[in-house]
Amino acid sequence: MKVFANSLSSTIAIKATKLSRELSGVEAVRDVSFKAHFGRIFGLLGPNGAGKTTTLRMLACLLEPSTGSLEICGNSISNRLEEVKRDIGFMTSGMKLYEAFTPEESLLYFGRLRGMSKASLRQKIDQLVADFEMSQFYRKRFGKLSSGEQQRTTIANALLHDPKILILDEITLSLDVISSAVILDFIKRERDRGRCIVFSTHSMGEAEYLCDDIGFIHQGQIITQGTARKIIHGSGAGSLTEAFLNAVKQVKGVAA
Amino acid sequence: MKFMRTSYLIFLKELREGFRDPKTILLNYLLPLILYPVLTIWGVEMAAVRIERERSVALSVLVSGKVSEDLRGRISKEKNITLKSLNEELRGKLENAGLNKFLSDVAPASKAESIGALDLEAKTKFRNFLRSEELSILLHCGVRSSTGEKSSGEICSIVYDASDWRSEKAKQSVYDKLESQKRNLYEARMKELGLTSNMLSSLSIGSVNTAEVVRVANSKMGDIVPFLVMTILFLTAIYPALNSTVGERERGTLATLLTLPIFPAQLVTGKTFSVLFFCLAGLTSYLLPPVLFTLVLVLTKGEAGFGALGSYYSPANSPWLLPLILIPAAVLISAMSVCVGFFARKLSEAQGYFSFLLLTPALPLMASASGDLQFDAVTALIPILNIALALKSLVVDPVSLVFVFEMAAANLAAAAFFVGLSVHTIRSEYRGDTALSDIVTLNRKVVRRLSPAFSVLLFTLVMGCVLYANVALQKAPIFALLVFTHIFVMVGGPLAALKYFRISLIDSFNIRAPSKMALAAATLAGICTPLVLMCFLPQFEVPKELSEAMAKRMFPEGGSAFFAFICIALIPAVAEELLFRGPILQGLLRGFPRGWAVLISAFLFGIMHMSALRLPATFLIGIVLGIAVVQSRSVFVGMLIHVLNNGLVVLLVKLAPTMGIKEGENFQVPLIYGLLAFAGLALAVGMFFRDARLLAPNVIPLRDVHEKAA
Repeated sequence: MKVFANSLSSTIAIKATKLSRELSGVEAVRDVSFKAHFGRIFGLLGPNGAGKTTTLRMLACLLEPSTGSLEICGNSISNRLEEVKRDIGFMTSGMKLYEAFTPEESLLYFGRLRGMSKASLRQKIDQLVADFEMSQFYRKRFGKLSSGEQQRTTIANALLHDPKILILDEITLSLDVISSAVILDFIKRERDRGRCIVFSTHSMGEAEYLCDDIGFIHQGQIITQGTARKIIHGSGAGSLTEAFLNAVKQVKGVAA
Repeated sequence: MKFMRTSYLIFLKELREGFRDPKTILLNYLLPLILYPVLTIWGVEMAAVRIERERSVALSVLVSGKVSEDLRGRISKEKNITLKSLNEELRGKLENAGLNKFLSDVAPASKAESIGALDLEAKTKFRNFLRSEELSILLHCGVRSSTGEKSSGEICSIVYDASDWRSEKAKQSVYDKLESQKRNLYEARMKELGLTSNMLSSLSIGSVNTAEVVRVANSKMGDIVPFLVMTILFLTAIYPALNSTVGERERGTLATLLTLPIFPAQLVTGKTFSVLFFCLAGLTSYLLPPVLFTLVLVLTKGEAGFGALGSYYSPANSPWLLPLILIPAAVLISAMSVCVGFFARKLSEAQGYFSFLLLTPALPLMASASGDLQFDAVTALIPILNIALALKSLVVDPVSLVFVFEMAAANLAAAAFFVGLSVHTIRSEYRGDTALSDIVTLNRKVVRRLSPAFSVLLFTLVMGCVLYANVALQKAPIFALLVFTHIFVMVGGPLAALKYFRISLIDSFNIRAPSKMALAAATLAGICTPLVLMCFLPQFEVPKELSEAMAKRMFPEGGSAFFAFICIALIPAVAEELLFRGPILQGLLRGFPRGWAVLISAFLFGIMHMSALRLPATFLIGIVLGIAVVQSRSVFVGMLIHVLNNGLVVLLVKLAPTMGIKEGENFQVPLIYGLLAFAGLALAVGMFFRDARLLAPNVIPLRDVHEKAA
């Protein structure tokens, strides 16, 4: 089942042009430009501290770019920031829901804050409970759930308002193999439904398994980008890891 | 409408979350409700018992020397006083304690005044003797020695301990008896001489106490009640505020909340109202018992029991004034707490802020307890202080409804300011600006450039040091004070801070050579500004400290004008420019549009001079200086204007006597010169703007750089 019409699936969801962000006096992200499309998964790959989180926080409208322009579903973030936020579902591994509330209550609260009507919200929550197999625990307090259950609930929250774009920041970081497999499958499913997914990870294996488009980010700059196939085969490398290391070497070579 | 709905949803959620925590509910709301009635009744019973006991307490008076039977009879008429003679046993004890001399000193042969000269050690020993023998006071009477006179009369003295209420009470009643005895003897003597008593005493004295017991008690309550209520307000607001702001941040839910398409203002209002709810709930559970108790006293006119207090009680004000005062106060304190909660990045950091926040009520409470300040039209406008004053006068005197409404408006306005500040904090987090939190925690990895928060904090610290220096160096030579406050505090302080955070000194202080046009404009502005102020501001008199104290210290015997120029014109000009047009203005420019930054820095500059009378003048000078430095991008331009302005004032003070102007008099520049100066000033400002357009845009605030690059 596709959430969006096919005609949408090839259009540009995110257009980032020369995004830079100075944090703590250091340029955490410098001149990052890329496009992410509906119906595709864009993977932002890089080691820790490369600027992945800063970039995604800018995409999720949590941090203003120092310079550069950012268009989300055709709207510029510099005007109507609150409108732009409607199209985005954002999730990081550090995000939580209210511990004293059950997942159901938290979802109801966030849904109402997003301006959804009670009836459609109920329907949506039922669907999410089925999708993420939450029926066992969605009426238990969030604080008492296991970390995998908490993660599923948080993802459900990011999908609550049917965002056209899903931004996921290292969400498999603290999960075991089985839990992350569930989540990776979910990401593919959402892609097939026509959403644009921007995904950051430092695990090359995950990226190889998932991503349609890839951007390598290193020291705040995108050093290589293109479709996954092109990057792996085009550079003559056997795997994504090799391709990444080659790209880093190339940059260093240029610098030297 | 939709705005309110979102806020309302947030409000409801906070309430629900709050009520999910049974421990908090029990400790904050239920326990006081149960405990306080018990405590109140217990306290009142204690008070009643004490009043009864004070009335009937047994007092014993040690009598030595010759006490006339008449006086003895008078004193022992008082039921609770027993007289005890200085028998052999007690005399032996006194001897053992080495107090013989004390006793003879107490009973002087001729003069009652010599009693005061007793030494401290003997007094202490005697006090302990009285206490160990369970005696309240010593009454010593003797015959006044006569020097040739026929009749000499008696002399009585009382030794008592003012720190012991029993002794104090015994002294008072024996003293009264002695007074009436004295009066009787006097009248009898007059009669003997064939005179009426009022023939010799032309003045009779009497006094009437209009305050019933409860009023006296109320005025004492007035010092305690504001303290109690303020403490309760802060304590009940702080924890929900912490929990719903920095607590959410630590638990990771604030991040989720911020991804939602809601405005920061909705978030802040929703949370503030929920904190207000808990604050009022806490206040109610703390105050309900005493209020209900008072109500019972009032309605039953004291017949409901509760010992002796009930019969006296009459409230000074309608109880309905209480919510009218407390609700806006609670709104303000909730908004303050939420604001501080948003400032902090960590719970532990927030706790540090809240310790300071808890000190906020201390100062106004001290001011209100001192009794110098009254709740009136002016003080009602000062937030926090007005709460303390209103509560104090609510207990003691009838309060005008107008002041109460005025106060409510002032506190609500202040609350709106804090809501705005919270919104600003959230927005600046989105913009990635330096947070106050990073500056306070001296996080130099993060604080790498100036910001409004930096400016405000720097100003506060420098002002604090200047105030201390002024007190500490009160008696020092003026030169030392000036050098210390200006060079060490105003320049040294910022210099140290900038060095610590590794912020560029050249950019912060604007150390750049000005253009020739800017220098010309500065000269013009420096001469015209003081003339304009002295012409158009009618309140601008020659400042007293300049004309009197300063003149004496600065011009000793017609002394050196050069020294005066250095002290008044040069040092302050250089130092104040470096501070106010340096890091303070530059920091403000990084968070506010230019106009606002100049206005705020001018206002801070005005406050720094610590004179309400001179505030309009210093504020206006601050604006001129701000415009000059922002446009010319050179601190030297500000210094030039400042030196000229101050120098001209010094010159006028020096010349004032020769121009026939007396000290403290209004010093008014003739209108025609004023108008000319105004035209000159306008021209100078115009030149500054023209100059700015000619300058290459090489050094402009960071925000503009970004806009340009974008």
